[in-house]
Amino acid sequence: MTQSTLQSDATHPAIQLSNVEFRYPQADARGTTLHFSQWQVDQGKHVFLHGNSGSGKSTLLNLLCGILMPDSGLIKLFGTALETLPAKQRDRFRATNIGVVFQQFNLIRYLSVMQNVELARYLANQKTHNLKCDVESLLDSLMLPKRLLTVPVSSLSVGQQQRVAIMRAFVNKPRLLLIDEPTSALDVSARDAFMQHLMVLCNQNDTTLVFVSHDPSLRDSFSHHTPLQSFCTIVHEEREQAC
Amino acid sequence: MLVSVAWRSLISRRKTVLLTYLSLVVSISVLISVEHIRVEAKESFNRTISGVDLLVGAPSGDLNLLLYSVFRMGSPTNNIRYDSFQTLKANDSVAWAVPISLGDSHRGFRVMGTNSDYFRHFSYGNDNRLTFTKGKPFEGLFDAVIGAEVAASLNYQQGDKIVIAHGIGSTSFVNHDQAPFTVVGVLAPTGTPVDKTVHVSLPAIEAIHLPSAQLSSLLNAPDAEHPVPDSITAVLLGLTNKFATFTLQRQINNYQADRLMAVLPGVAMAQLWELMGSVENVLRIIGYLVLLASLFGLATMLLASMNERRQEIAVFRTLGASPALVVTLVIIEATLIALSALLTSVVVVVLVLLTLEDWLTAEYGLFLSYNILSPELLMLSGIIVIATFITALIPGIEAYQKALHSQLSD
Repeated sequence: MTQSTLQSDATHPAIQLSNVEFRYPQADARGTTLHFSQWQVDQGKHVFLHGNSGSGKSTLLNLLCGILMPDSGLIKLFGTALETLPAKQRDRFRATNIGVVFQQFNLIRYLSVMQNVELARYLANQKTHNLKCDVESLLDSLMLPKRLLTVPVSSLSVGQQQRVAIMRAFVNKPRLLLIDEPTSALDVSARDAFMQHLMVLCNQNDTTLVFVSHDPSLRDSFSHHTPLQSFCTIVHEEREQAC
Repeated sequence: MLVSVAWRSLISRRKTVLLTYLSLVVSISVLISVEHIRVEAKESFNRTISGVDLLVGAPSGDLNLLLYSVFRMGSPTNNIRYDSFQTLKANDSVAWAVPISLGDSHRGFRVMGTNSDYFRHFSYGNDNRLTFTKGKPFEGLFDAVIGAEVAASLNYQQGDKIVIAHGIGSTSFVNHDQAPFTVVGVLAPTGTPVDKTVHVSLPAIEAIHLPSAQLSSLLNAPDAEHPVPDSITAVLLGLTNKFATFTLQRQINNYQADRLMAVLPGVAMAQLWELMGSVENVLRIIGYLVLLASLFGLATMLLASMNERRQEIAVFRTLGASPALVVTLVIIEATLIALSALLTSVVVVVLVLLTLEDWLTAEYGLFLSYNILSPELLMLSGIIVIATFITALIPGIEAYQKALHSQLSD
């Protein structure tokens, strides 16, 4: 499945989950299964997903980007059922269509900012001839100085690293952006700046956004908020509870 | 891109990588040196004699005859008659025959009696003839031609007088003081036992062993007829037709008038090299074991880094890298270390050989070329790269497992 064929099919929801079951490996959580009933996110929507710690938020993001595979059920992204793709194509689908930013450790620490961005472009198998132009535009949007490009990421502040992670996610113009607790290590002003830049970029690129956070004060930035327990159930060996 | 990423990853772990790299440099240098010395020794060995079709001496054994007549090692068990040499020389199949007579020495260097044909026909290496850096072949009875190493070690010049001692030890109690020889020629270096030889004429060998009174009268009458030897040690034969070699060998071995044995130098050389092959193999095995130890060190270093690289692997996976690509990255890292170590080792060995070349020649008579580029080195490089690849699979498999199970927020 190529990006062009995906783009031609804009009628499908960005995310479609149907009766998805994921059983944790024995070593991680003995006898625990996550059950996601039905959940759908339309293209271009920005969704704030919230839930308690250990409720399966990160597992859901891993399932959505195809790193984890469900034991049963259906996950469709832009009309493509992930389980029908061979592992290699799933990796390529993730590289070209999904941007991921998580709480920390988003960047390869021994590479410079530019090399991190180049790596993302390389893994998405996209041409690099207009990379510099794209990066400069993203730097402007994220209010980052150009001199940062050659700086090793280990010398950046946490706030700068998170913005660089956003820049790297957007360099391949992803159709879906999955973000996991990105502001937990930021102070209030850095958090607000981060959210502002993120929303501007998502709107500019018409990117579907799933934003996972504990922080209820961020809810107001989103048109849609979904509690995870509304479609997720945790099933233990002998008892069952809502997420 | 991947090579660049792998290189920067190695730089970021420079301390452990540097130690692993140095360990590899040492082991690969040892291996290259062993291999080079082996190749050079074999070449030096094979270049000792060329163009001689048969070696003829008293029956003792192929190796013994080769050792004393060509390498000047050991002692002949018996001599052959001089008229046997003349018979051989007169044979239709023989293009040239050079007699040699051994048994005396000069300050630890062997003295060889021969005739002027030796300087015309003896060749070494790739059919190289003997050449003189100074002087000319002997003409007078007590003239001597010395090898390059004799001249260098004892600082002899043309015109110097030397005294030959009976026997082959470096210290002798019987010196032929009465009849000193004059150095009339110095041979160019050959990298063969010729360099360590003092060459005199056969009549001179006979003369210095004459009773004192006869020798005195000979010295007082330089125009007197030179003594003719009764026996010699061996004969080097060049044949007119190579196809006649085996026939002539059989004829010589069955010769009734004297007890003779003829051997093919090439066959005897192969036998000798086979004997030394076990030493060669032991050296090679030690070299490979040292390399193996270093490669395990490399694998250990990469394996130990896998835990601290869990987050890095997770980032690669979320960016769309397959587990196979993560393994490829680990293998590229290992290969980069091994190739850098290989290149450094080549440079180190060349520099060491360049620096020690003169010293090795002067002290040990070793002619080691600093040009180490050879098919053997290419093969060795291939083995090192393949061994690195196989060893890197150990951390590679670990990286694959980690990549398969890596998740966001891990």
